[in-house]
Amino acid sequence: MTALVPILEFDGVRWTDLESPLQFRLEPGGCVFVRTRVGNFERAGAIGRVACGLAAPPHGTIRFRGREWAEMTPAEAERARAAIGRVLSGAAWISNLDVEENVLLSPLHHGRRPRAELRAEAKRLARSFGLDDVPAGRAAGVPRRDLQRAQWVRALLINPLLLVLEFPERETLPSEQAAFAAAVDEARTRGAGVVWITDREPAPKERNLCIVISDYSLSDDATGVESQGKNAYSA
Amino acid sequence: MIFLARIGSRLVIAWRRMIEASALSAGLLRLAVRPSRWPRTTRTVLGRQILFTGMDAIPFILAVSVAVGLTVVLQTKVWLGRVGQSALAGPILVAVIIRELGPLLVNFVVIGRSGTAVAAELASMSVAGEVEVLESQGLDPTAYLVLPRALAMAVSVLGLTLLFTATSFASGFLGGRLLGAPVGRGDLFLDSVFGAISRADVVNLLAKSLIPGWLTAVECSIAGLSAGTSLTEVPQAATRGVIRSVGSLFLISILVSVLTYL
Repeated sequence: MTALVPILEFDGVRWTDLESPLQFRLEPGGCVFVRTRVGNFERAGAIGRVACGLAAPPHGTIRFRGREWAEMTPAEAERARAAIGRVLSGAAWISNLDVEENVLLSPLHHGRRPRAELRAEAKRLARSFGLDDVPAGRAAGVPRRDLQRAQWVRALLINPLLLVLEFPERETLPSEQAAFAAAVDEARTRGAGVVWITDREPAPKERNLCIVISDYSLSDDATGVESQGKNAYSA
Repeated sequence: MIFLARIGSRLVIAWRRMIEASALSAGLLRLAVRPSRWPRTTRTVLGRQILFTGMDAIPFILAVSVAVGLTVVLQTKVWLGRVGQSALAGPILVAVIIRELGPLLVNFVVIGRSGTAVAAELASMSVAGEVEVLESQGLDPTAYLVLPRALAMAVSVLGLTLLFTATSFASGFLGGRLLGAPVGRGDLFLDSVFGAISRADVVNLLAKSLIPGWLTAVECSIAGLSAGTSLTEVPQAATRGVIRSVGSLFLISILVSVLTYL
């Protein structure tokens, strides 16, 4: 019997201000909950970037489906990223495209599914998150809460192999977050791996289902924001 | 020695820039010759860019070409008629309008309108982190952002140059008629112009339209995408893109003229 190839592996990934490395193997259907200090969007973005192979980590290696990002050709890396749904903590929208064009961009670029079918699927997802439809117009004119939910739609629309979620719950209501968590669970049952980066305490259910890694930098300890161990694993 | 070192370092920078633009152009050409592999999104951007660079520029190009027709064509016709050399009107106008002035002016208009817009747009995207948004979805910025702009600019410059040439000849002749100038018969004027167009002129027109149009997009894209993180780099990128595009335009124009006519 052949062993399952992990979707994502962080091997000794370390930033200079972290004492212990980030180390995990994300199997299909698995979830890693990375807890940062409060509001550390920069760290979330940095983890997201290295997970998607857009930057090399300062120390350590990252493998996507068993291959290091650095070993892939640009075309291979692009194909790999086409299977990653990412909710970004920083800039998330192409400003000269409508929100709907942004949402449909990746599947239209990489796939052959008809636009009408994608629109219908996007609308279904948007409704499940409490929106009437994918917001119309440019991102600059859309409320942040709607934009964040549109990011959820974009990340899930591609039937992702990996979800990299940087503070996905930001700006949204608990009821909407619950709908999103259910959609993520559904993606996991289809075999998607999830890296969930946030500053909140994981819920008991998340603690049971995910590996929880707390990313405590020295400065966090100094401010007393966190009180537990450093980069600890817990099941 | 310091003076020589400065010249040397500038030459090295210019050489590196040329290598960078050539490498990007070669990569784009490889993508461009296989349209069946273009993603749907690239086609959409191509269509939009042709609309912006080509179609939207038509009114301004028409105005410039009418002005050129009323000055250059009319003057040439009138003065050659006065000295009894009307037969030379065709060859002279072909040399002035088709070989040099048409491609040069159209390229200037496209650099001013679209080159600056491309450089500023891509620089804004770089500064705002939007290029990373594309990359994290597996979109190659070269294929999605640069290729359609390069193709659209090359095709648009060619189309606008043909429009410019036809309009300037027509407006020069008709303007002369309306003003009562001795412009001669229309059929003879047309015969004289078409008779003066050689195969080298066609190659020259194609080369001076397609290559600088393509290079304008490449230079402005490089300038835009190499912007850093500060908003103040957006206008700087636009300026850099325009200066390099104008430099490329003159270089290509001289090279093509030398290769086709000497």
